Amino acid sequence: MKRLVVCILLLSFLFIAIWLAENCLYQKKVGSIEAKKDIQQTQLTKKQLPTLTQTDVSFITKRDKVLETIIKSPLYFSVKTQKFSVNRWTITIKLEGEIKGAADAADLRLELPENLTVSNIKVGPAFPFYPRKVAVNNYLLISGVASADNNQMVFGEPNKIFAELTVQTINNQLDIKKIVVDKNDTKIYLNGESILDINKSIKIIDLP
Amino acid sequence: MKNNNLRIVFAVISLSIIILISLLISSTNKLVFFNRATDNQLNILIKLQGQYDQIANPTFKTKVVLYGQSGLTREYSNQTLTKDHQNIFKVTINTTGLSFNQMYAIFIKPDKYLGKLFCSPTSSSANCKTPQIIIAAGSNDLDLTQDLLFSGDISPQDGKIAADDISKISNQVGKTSTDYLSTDINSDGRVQTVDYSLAIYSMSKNYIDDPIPSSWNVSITPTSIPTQPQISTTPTPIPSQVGSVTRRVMVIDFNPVIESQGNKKIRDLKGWANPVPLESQYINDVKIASGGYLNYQIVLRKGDLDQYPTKNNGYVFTDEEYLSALNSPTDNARAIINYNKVLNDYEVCQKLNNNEIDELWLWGGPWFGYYEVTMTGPSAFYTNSSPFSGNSCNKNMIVMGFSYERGISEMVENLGHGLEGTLSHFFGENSTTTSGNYTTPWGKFALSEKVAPGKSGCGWMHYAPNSASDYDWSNKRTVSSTCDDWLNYPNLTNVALLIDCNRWNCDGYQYKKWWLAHLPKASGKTNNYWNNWWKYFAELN
Repeated sequence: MKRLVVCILLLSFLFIAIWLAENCLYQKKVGSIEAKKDIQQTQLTKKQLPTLTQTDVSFITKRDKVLETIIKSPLYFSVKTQKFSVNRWTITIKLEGEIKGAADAADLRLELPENLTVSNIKVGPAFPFYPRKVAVNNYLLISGVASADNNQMVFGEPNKIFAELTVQTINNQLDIKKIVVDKNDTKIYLNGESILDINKSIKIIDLP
Repeated sequence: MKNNNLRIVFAVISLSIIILISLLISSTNKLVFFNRATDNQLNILIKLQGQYDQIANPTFKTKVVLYGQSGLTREYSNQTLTKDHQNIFKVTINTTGLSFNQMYAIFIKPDKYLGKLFCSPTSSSANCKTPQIIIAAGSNDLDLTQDLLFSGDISPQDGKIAADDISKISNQVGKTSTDYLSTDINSDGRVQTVDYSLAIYSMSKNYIDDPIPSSWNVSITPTSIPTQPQISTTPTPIPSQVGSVTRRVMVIDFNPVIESQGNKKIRDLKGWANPVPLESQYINDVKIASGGYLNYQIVLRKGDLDQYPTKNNGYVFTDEEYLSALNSPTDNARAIINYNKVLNDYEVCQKLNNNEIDELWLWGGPWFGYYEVTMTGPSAFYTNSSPFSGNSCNKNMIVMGFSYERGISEMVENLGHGLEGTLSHFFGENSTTTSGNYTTPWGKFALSEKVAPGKSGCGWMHYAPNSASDYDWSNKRTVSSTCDDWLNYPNLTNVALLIDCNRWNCDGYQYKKWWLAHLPKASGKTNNYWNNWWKYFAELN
């Protein structure tokens, strides 16, 4: 019995010793990790934000310079149509609005009726650059954007032609003489905000 | 006394358990239980528009959607896409619970990018009509880097690039942050003209999210495709439609006694393998791979011959020379044996002519001078070596050269080479190592990615369909392969599937059996070729 008690005591002592040693090591390990974390966080805080390139700075300078001269005001699309022949029309779409207004990007999307094709797209001076001009699958999509080419940034300007389209029917047949403006994908933006005047902007183009 | 001892033992065990548990708790601060990791996953590589060489660790939250032939199967949101190298990015999804018996199409849409639909590495977007991606149990690698994903669809992502995206980016050029910036397309922590430019480019191309077909073309029976869990060391044979043949084998086993080493036989001295169990395994492997068609039967054995075979220059090893040659082989050691002397010494042709045997297997150690496989007879041809003549054999006979220093994998490889040579002879094309416009079934069967990118068949012994180099049987790259379609021969569907080395457990021996099991073995003939290709090797006369 005595031996049993001695043995239990010895093992208990051994257990406590190991437990203490382990905890000591663990605390040390945690301390070391915490210290390392603090150093990393300090380094991260001190870390400078990514820098910009000269091109970026130039872009920002030009953009901000123009933004100082313009007024944020609603813009919209207007339309004029002219019949050339029995099955051929020209459609002139203008960007309209206050004279000091401007836009940095605009999309115009038209849903074309069957049997009507776009035979020509001529972009106007409203925007300096039109990266997208497509007429496929019964729709037409034109996008104009601001451009920072040359020594200045040019935004989309109102009261100028956005695009001139020539459309014609196939086989002289056109049951529906209306082109619908896609209200979801027709947009005019400035500084990341919509400036499209939905009420004034064209919704349907009637072909005479 | 006995009870006291028991109590002590009990106390010691109890305390030991307590100590162990305490150690576990104290070292990890929590109890650790063994859990079985779920490692069913699909690692997808994609290529993003933009330059990422100089950007440290860009990541993108990514949506991955799996479509089976019946429609949407599973959607994964906010998966982390990380840079692998340059503009190649990797995303891993957990595939546990997916059906591994169907094929998938995968739609991938990283944050700020347009989504792209892949039916296979080589068919995406409008070309993606039929899901062809196989996902097996375990870890799968899928390389979808042949097509670029375009950027510019910033938050809120609507699947297209429009004026609002461009305007927002333009407006934020110059903004920097260590936090997330929705207009920072390349995730380098700053909105720059390059981000603007990337979006403008995508807009100019009128890119949008790939639409998902309302219904998929279904032209494949996925159940015919074995997935990884079905891979075993003994692939399920396809029942032969052509009966079976028995080939009677004579075995000559050279195993010289080395007197200077305590009269030990060389095999025992070197600890090399016993041929008998290898032969049994080989016979079984061939039977399974050929769908029960080819049955070897050893009818005669000349075992443990205390001699070295004579080389074709008349040279015969002494024990010392042989032991020395194992370390530094001489020209004599490198010489091939005099096959005809072996045939004469053991009356092999006589037995062949008397219809007692059909095939000869030679066993030996390194530098004994055997070809892996060769052939003799009146119309012998090049198998894996030039045929030999000058003997009295009046029928064609295959002579296999096996090494007991090697193993079963090399034995199967020898057979594979024999089949390659035989089929190349009969079909008149050898597509194993050279590219070209192969027109025969065998020419197409043996194509690998190495010689015909995008047109892999089953490859050949040294090159699996996806191997990048000789003996590269554990390559995990995914390639499009028609190998499974050869199980339908001669009614090929021309469907290519994506495979990687998981199909053969990324193991050379398994690959060789997998390859053999895919050799056509149907009945009848097509365009004057037997539909059972084993026949060319097994029925030489």
